[in-house]
Amino acid sequence: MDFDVDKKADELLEALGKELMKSREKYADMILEGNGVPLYKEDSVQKRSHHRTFRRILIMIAVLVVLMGLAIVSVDGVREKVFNYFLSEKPGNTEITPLENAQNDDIPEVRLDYLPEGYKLVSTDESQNICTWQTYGNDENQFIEFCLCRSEYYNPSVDNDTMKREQIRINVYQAQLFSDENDCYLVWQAGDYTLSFYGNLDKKTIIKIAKNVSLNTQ
Amino acid sequence: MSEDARNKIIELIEKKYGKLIRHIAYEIVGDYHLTQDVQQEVLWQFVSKHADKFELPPKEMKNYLCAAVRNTALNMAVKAQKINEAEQAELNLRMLNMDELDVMAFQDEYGYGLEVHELLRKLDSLDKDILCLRYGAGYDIHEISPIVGIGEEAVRKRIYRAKIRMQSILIERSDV
Repeated sequence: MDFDVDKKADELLEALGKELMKSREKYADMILEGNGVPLYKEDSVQKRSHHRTFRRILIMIAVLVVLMGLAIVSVDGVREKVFNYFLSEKPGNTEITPLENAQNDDIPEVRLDYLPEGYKLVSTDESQNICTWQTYGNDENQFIEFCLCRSEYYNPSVDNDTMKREQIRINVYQAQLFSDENDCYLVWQAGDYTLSFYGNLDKKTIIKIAKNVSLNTQ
Repeated sequence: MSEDARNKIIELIEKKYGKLIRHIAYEIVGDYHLTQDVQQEVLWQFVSKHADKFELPPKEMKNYLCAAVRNTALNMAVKAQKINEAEQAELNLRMLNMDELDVMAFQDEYGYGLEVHELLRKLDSLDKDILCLRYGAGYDIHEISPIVGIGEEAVRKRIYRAKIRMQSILIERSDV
C-alpha cells in the first residue's frame, strides 16, 4: 500500500462532508424558491435494507428447506404423505413405488418377491376395493395368509394371552409381530394401507417374506 | 440574550427559512400541529444553544436546518407516537433528495469515486447529517449532538465507524 490510509480516509470524509453541504444547500434553495421537492426519493430505501431483507428471506427459506428435508427423510408418515411412495428395501437397493392408487378406488396390486420353497398361491379374494387376500400353501399343510387392506377398514383382534408381541421394522416401516410356538402374525402400515401376514411358520421366514413385498403398478 | 432579542431572531429565521423548516417537518410528521411544534422546537434550540450561529453564512444555516429539522421531526414523531423507533430507523435508511451527490466528482478529483459510493451505501441519513456537520461545516461533537438529538458519545461513535468503514474500503480496494 503506497498511501496513508488514515489520512486518505479523513481527506475523503472531508470531501464527502463538503459535497453533502453543497447538495443540501441546493435542496434548501429549491424549497425556498417554492419547488416542492419531496424529502425522500421514491422507492428509496437504501440497498442495505433490501439486502438485509433479502438475506433474511433466504435464511428463512434455507431453514425451512432443511427442516422439511429432515422431516421427510426421518418420518415415514410425512414421507408417505408428501410423496405417497411405497418403499421396499432390497439387497443393495430400495424400490420406491408411487402409491398412485391411494387416491383412486382401486387397491394396488401386490406381489411377493420371496416365498419359502414349496409354497404356491392357493387362493385370492378381494372385497369391494377395500381388502385383498392371498393364501399360499405347501404340500405339508403349512399356509401363509397375506392381506392388504385400507387402514380405515382394518380392525383385527389378536389373542395376547397366547401370542407374544414384538416391535420390529419391515424395511422403513414399524411393524408389530405376534408369535407363539406355532404361528406368527405380522402387521404394519404403509401409507393408507395396512399389510399383514399370518401363517404357521417361523418368525425369521415371515419377516423375510414381508420385507420382499412389492407393489405391482402395472 | 434578552427575551425580545430571542423573539426577534426567531421571527427573522422563521421569515427567511420557515418554508424550508415546515416542508421537511411536514414530510416526516404529516401533521400540521406537530409541524408547528417541530418548528418551535428547532427555533428554540437554535436561539438557546446556538445563538452564536445566527451570523452563519446562509449556506451553513441551510445545512444546519436540514439536519436539525429532520432529526427533531423524527424524534418528536416518535414521542408523539406517530411512528415507532423501528420506523424511525427505516426512515433514516431512506434516500433523501437533499443527499443526491455526484459520485463521479470524487472520482475526478480524488480518484476514489467507487469507494465513496460504497461508503455512502453503508451510511444512514443520521450518519450523513453528522459527517456533513463535522467535516463539511467543521462543527465540534458537542455542537453536533443537540442538532441531531443524540448524545455526544453516540455522535463520536458514528464518526469513528464511518472513518473505519472508509479505511476498510480503501484497504480492500487497494488489495484487489
